[in-house]
Parts: sequence; structure tokens; C-alpha cells
Amino acid sequence: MLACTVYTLVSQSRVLPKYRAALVMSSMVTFIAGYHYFRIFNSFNESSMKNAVTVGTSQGSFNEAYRYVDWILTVPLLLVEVIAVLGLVKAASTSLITRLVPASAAMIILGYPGEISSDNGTKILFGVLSTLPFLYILYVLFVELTKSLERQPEGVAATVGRLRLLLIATWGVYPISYLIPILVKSPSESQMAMLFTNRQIGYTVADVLAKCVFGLTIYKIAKMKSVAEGMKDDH
Amino acid sequence: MTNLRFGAYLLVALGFINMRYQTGHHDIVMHSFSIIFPGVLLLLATFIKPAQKFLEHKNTKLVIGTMILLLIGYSFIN
Repeated sequence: MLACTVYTLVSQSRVLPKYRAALVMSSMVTFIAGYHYFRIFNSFNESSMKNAVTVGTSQGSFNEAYRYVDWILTVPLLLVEVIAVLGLVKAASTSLITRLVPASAAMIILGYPGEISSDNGTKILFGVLSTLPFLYILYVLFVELTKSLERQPEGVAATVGRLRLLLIATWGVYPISYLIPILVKSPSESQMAMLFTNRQIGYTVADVLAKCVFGLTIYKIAKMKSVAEGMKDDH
Repeated sequence: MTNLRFGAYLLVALGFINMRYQTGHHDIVMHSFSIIFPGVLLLLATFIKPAQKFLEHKNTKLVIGTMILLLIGYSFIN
């Protein structure tokens, strides 16, 4: 995450000034996520004793709230980053931001009660509620990205097209990880530990894909558009 | 101005993640709030016209940039 932050920061001069905001946002997203992982490791250490991890909301316990604080701060930025690189007219950008940012906040806020609940019914209920804004975001972005394909320079359209698929592929890992604890009915202690570990791995993989890989794709689009708009490709 | 806004948002974000880590500790004000408050103040200032003029001075930018870097460093060690 931090390497990605440095890369997108030092690559600012390789794109036109109008696309630099998208790269700065990408750097911020990966830096905030990197800091979050630094703190999550601290929390994991504090809550681990004799190969067991205490999970809960009390002090000294490993708490999933870290991820949710990270997500509520970075997901809106991630969406603004996509809008910034599309280079839409101001009115269209504002309209997208006012639709997507509240939806992303709703998605994360609705997911948290299900995340910390040990009851499968509550997990499913909040999982479904959280999926509604999630689908709305994907729908709006998919439609807008498709619309913008016509306005993109030759060569860039294919990358923007792939961005749509990347968006679904990377964001799709989150609900799968969320559902992992529901997969086993009445799990034993060792199964619970395995489910917990698998969910953490799932979320971590999803974070790397959705923040680093996505950010690097944004950089690629910004660079291609800059070259198409007359910037010398001498880097 | 946009970069200062980004810096302020970064401080608020780091402060909130740090606050989650400090929950239950006694001196939370000295730890997390000392990162969040400057972030919130700076963020608000970037939207106020008279404050914007002040923030656009080269020296002000230098001082604020240094402050942001110091607070980011502090968020890792506290």
C-alpha cells in the first residue's frame, strides 16, 4: 500500500495537471489504507495470546471497526478518483459525486452491524441492506463508465472498459469475505478460527485489489489520456 | 488549495483510525484529537474565502505542510 502511495505520488509529473487530482486521491487512499494496516497489526498483536485472538469491541480485543473506519474514509475517495479521471463536465461530475458518496457511506454503515454480530440472521439482514447501495453504486458507475467510453480517446476506451470489469471483480470480493462466517453452521472453535482467518485474508486481498490495482489502473488511464491530449510520452 | 484540502482530509482520516486504536485509553485527547482537530480546522479554513487568501501565502503553505508531515509522523508513534 505504501509503495503504491509513493509510486502514484512520484508519477504526478507524468500526467497532465487536470488528472493529477485523481492520482493524489489514489495516493491518499493507499496511504490511509497502509496506516490502517499498520494499526490493525498493532491491534492483532495486542489481542493475540497463545495462538488465540480475542475478537470483540472491548479494549485489547481485535475489532473489525478498524476496517470500517478505513472504508468509510477511503471508498468515497476511490469513487471521486474514478470520476476525476473520466474528465467529465463539472455538472456531470457533481451529479455523480452527490449520488455515489452518500450511497457508499450507506453501504459501509449498513454493513457494520452485520459484521460485528454473531447471529447469522442479523448478518444476512444487514448484508442484504448493505448490498442495495452497493448494487446502486456498481450500476451508476457501470452506466457512466459505459457512456464515457464514446468520449475517450482511441486506446483509452479499452482500458476504461476493463476498469468496469475490475470494479466488479475487486468489489465483489468484499461480500464474499463478509459471508464467510455464515458458510459453516454451528462451527467448532477451530472452525471459527479458520473462518476468522479466511475472512481477514479475503478482506486484505480485496483491499489490495480495490486500492492498489485500481489506483494503478487509474494512473494508466490518466497517462494514456495525457498522451492522447498532447503530452510528450518521454517518461 | 486542493492539496491543502487533501492534507487536511488525510489528517482527519488518520486521526479517526488512530482514535479507534486509542479507545479505552485515558489520554485520548492528547493522542487522536491532536491530529483530528488541526485537520478539521484546516479543512474548514480551505472553504472560507478570507482564510483562503492567508493559506495561499508561500510561507503559510510551508508551515502548514511541515505541520501536516509532523502530525502524520506523530500518528505512527503514538
